[in-house]
This record gives sequence, C-alpha cells and structure tokens, in this order.
Amino acid sequence: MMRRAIAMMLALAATPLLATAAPPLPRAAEVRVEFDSNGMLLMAQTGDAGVVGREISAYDPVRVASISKLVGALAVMRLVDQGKINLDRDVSEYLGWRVRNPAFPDSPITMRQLLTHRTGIRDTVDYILPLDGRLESILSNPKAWEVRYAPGTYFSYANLNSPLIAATMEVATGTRFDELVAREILRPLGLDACFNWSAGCSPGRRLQAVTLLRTNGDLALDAPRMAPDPCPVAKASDGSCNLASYQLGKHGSTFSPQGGLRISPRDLARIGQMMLDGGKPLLSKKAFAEMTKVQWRFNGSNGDDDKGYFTAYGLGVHIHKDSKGKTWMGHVGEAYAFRGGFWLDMKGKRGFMRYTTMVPAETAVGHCLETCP
Amino acid sequence: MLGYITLGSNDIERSRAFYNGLLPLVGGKELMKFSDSFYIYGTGMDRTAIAITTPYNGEAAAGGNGNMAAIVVNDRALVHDLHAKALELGGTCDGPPGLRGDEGPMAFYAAYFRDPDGNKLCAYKMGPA
Repeated sequence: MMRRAIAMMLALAATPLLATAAPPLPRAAEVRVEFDSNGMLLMAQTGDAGVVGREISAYDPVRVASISKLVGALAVMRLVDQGKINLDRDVSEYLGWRVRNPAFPDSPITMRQLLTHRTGIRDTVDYILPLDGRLESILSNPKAWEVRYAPGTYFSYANLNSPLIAATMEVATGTRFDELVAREILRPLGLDACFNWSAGCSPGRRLQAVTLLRTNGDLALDAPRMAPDPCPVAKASDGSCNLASYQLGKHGSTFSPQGGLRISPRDLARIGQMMLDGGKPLLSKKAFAEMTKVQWRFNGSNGDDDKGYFTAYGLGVHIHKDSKGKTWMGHVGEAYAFRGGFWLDMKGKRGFMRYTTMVPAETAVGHCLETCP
Repeated sequence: MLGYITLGSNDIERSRAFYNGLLPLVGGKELMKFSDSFYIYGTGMDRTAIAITTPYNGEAAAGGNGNMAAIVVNDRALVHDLHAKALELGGTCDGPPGLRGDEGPMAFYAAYFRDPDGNKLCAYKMGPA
C-alpha cells in the first residue's frame, strides 16, 4: 500500500516535469494545388511551415527534392533548342574529361541517356560531393557504374546522373547551373525560385522557406533564418564555403540538381501550365515533344522497374498510368521527410502539385497521386 | 461574431459556377444546399460563410453601393490569383491588386471585384510583404 502511494506521488510529481520537457511539435504540412492552363483551380493547405504557429502557404518555397530533376530537364531542352546541347553527343566532348563506364569504354555517355537514367551510373557512391570534390574522380570509381549492361540499354533510376547533367550544361553554356536554370526557366516565367538559395530567388525569399523537420521535430533542412544563408551548398572538406573559386563543369553537385530546387507549389503550377501549353513560350514544339514522348518503356528486362514503380520515362519526366488507366506525366520528390508529387494530365489539360512534410522515413513510397506518403 | 453573409443572385447556377470556381483557391467549397436557390460556401461550418440566394421578396438581386464582403488571405500573391480567377469566371474588376495606403506592419494589400450579379468582393492581405 505504501509502495503504491509512493509510486503515485512520484508519478504525480513527474507529470508536470514531463509535460514541460517536450515542446509542442509543428504540425506536418499538407499542400495541394490544382491548375489548368488558364489558372489555379484549387489551393488547399493545412499545417505548419516547420515552425509552431507559422501556417503553411502554397506560396512558400519548399525544397521539392527530385521534382527538381524535371525542372533541370526543361532547362536542358532550352539548350537543345538553342543548339548548345545535342542529346546524342558524347558528354565527354563538352566536359573536356572522359566519362566512361569502365566495362564499356567504347560506349559514349549522352545527355539522352542521362535524362532517361540509362547511363549505367548508380547511386552506390555518395552523390553529394563536398565543394572541393571532383565529379571526374567520383565517376572514375568503378563502383559508380553498373557493369552488366551497356550505356543506353538499361533503365535504373540514379541521382548521380544529375550532377553530370548539370556539369555538362555548365560547360556547354559557360554559366553556373543555378544561374542557368534561373535564366532559362525560372525568371522568364516570373518565378521566385532557385536551386540551393542561389540565383533566381529574391533576397528575402529565404525567410519564407518551409523548414523541413523529421517526424520527431529534429531539423532536416532549411532552418528558419533572418539573414542570408552563409553557406547554402555542401561545404568543402575543410569546412570552407568559397563559391568564388567554383569551376564550371568540374563538380555538378554544388547546387543539388538532383533535388535542391526551392519553389512554391504556386510557382511550380506555372511551370505545369507552361507544360500543359506544350512548352510554350519557352520550348519549341519539337523539343517539348521529344521531352515528353516515351523514351523508355519497361519490357520486363530492359531496366530496374523498382517493383512496378517505373514503367515508362521521357527526358527527365516520369510517365505513369494510374489504376484507372489515366496517363500522368511528372515527377515525385522524396527527401528530408518531404514527400511530393507534381503531375500533369496532358490529355485532360490539368495538373496538380501536392506534398506532405514530416513523413516517417519507413513509409512506403508512392506516386503521390491521391495521397502523399 | 459574424456567422455568414448573404449575397443575392439572379441566376443561381451562374453564381454557383462563380463561387465553386473562386473559393477553392482559399480552401473553400460549397458546404450546404438548403434549397434549389440557397447555397452556403466556406471553409468549414464553424467559420464565417457566404450564402448565395435569390432574394426573398422575388425582386431582382442587385449589388449594393457601399456594402462588400472581404476575404482575408495569407499572401499578397493570392490577392492577385483571386482577382484573376474572379475575372476568368465572369466577374468584373472593381480595383486591381495593389497596396492601399502605406507599406509597413499595417499595410493593406487588396483587390476588388464583383461577382456576375454585381456583388462587390475584396481579397486582402494585412501586414508587410
């Protein structure tokens, strides 16, 4: 009896301590915007922007993870239109250093293969290079390559294709990747968006960032800030962050072309509207058709379909048929507890972008159509 | 304090098309139908709502002079989006998006428009940009 009473007293004493020890967590954000080529159809937003009491808005820039790849691909197609990049040319010729799958030294690696994940490059090495890293040395590691299939013959989704795309774009234009995408896509559409808080975002944009948190409230990325980010990119191995000495075409990963785009769902809708309009006014009809046609379709043996997840692919765009037989074109993004999907129904001339934050890492990955785990 | 406001309609289906197109941009939708000529719109039954109806006395509905329903939004860009959407849906401009008064902590950024029956609406964001 006495023991129980003591235990109860201890429990009562402990309760207020426990209650004050755990600060309230922000609510997960859920945003969905729908649009057609005329304008917005829906903007639904609930939850917090990663900070208790700061409600999420569809106008807040968020790191959209791999959806970034699609925007990078649109910039590539602008360069194809301008004659600065040939989809089927050996990218080594642009870069000035040799890119080869060690098992297939005679097979060139092309932009078309990069955009369709058919280079043979794998994510078996770290694709986030320190600022003083060199893409050439990463890709000279045989572990970065699939050695069973020749370049161009086998689909396998890999983030490491993106730095090579970015490096090639830089050399082809003499322009840094962040500035290039801003110049070719983001600014012409009037968007306040950028890769890794660099070119394309207005000076105050960083303040509006959606802070990405893990489910337990730990910071994942884009902490609230009142001043510019002192180092918006991965630091050098000695901890320094000197972008002034950045060399075009040597690194590729600095501005995170595989996932570093900060853009609001509302601004992404503008990109979607441009695509619903057949790429107008930024892309030629021919370039847009090339980008959005099926470049690869799974036939049972020509790729890693990730248990049925990938069935068809264009140039930097995932082509997906849903359970009702409707074809969607777009991309998903999943990183730092963010899960998002940006999808277009080209026939129905409608599209949407949706995302959820604070998603548990173990949640099964989906296409993010109806829901966004 | 305010539960809902009522706006008059001369063509209930035209009004429904307008509000069903406009209000999803602020998370709103058609919440309830009381009769073929009375509908409630909003973001939830516990929030201030807009009702549209044909006038009780059977006379024509008309937009007033001096009365207005103002929709608060969380971003200046949404002021633009709502205004553009209203015009796309057959509304008319009654004052383009922009700052009214001074910039600052109490800045008032707004756009004014009328629905197809002439009811005046406003979309506004208070506070700095």
